[in-house]
Amino acid sequence: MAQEMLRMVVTRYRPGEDRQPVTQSFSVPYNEDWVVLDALQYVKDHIDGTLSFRWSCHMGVCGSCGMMVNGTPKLTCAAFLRDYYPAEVRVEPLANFPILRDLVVDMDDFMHKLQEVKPYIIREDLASAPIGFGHEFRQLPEQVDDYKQFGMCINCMLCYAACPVYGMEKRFLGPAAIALAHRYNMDSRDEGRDQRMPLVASSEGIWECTFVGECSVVCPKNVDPAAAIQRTKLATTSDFFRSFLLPWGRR
Amino acid sequence: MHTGAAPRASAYPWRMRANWWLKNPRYSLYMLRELSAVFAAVWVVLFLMQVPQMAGGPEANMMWRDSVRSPGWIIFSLVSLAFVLYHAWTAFTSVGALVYLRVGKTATPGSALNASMIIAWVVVTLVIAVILVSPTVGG
Repeated sequence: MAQEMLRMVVTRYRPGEDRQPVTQSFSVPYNEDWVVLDALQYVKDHIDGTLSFRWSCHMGVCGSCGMMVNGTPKLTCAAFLRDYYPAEVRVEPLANFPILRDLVVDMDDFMHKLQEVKPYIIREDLASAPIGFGHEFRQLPEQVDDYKQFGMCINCMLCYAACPVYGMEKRFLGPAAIALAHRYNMDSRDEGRDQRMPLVASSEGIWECTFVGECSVVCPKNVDPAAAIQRTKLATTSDFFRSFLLPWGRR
Repeated sequence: MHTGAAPRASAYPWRMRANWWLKNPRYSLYMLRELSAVFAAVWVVLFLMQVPQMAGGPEANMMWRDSVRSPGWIIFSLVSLAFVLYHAWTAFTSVGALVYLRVGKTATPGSALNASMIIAWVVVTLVIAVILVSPTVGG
């Protein structure tokens, strides 16, 4: 029996060669247990070794292989060909990001924003002594539940690719960075909320979001960044009114 | 405050297309939700402009009654009502995402919060409807 084939239409952009992104079609073997990443690897190994794309773990953990598959942000290691076959599969670099080469996008902006929200535990007692033995901060299971969902983020940037606000306004801090800020703000061990909020609650942070909600739809880890942003809006508003009603109290 | 980093010079910049909201049905619904606020606001402004006519004596009141019976106003009101209902639905079904409520050791599911809002919406609507159609209260 002849091998079934699948048509892939892949965006190519080779700096110095292409003035703008172009598409190139490839015919790859169709295997029911293949994911889009396998098909891209087949192209690279057997058809065109210059095709560039990012990947690492091939198991939905590292968040490296995010691309647009038929117009939707997906981890290509988790997008099975059988969900598209026999129709063609269109693979493009993540939307809303500058393209470095082929399917590789420039993620500097995201990495910069991620650092800006200080996504780590901040405590005064850790500033004076190094982390090590003797530092144990106990939590109840329900206290872990308060933030656990938002800590599942793998920084795959699919939420940024799905966010039209980020597509139009690059100053926007974006879904994943705010979700991670929320994750640490909700952590009972953390004392860094006051350091994060000036940026998170600025006009470039939560208030830029208009609650499209697509970030939560495409998230492969069910982080629900949209919920994190809306809850931070609610908390910030509560802080604002509390500062008027209880100006002498701690916010 | 400035966030982010400047893109590299060799990178091909991203350009958002004007028809981005037609690429995904959920983006289109989002745009409808945003548009619904315009219809709600315009209807309320027009309604407030009618209040002096309502209370302006028998002749003015008759003119107001004629104007609100016009097909244009009825169609605009029905379209506005549809938009307001859609807007209210999206608002009430967002509560689960907006509110995090932990009772004791258990977090209340977002679906339960959404359902409670919908139930409250229906109950309040029915109470208002009863008041309006009641001859002794609403006239």
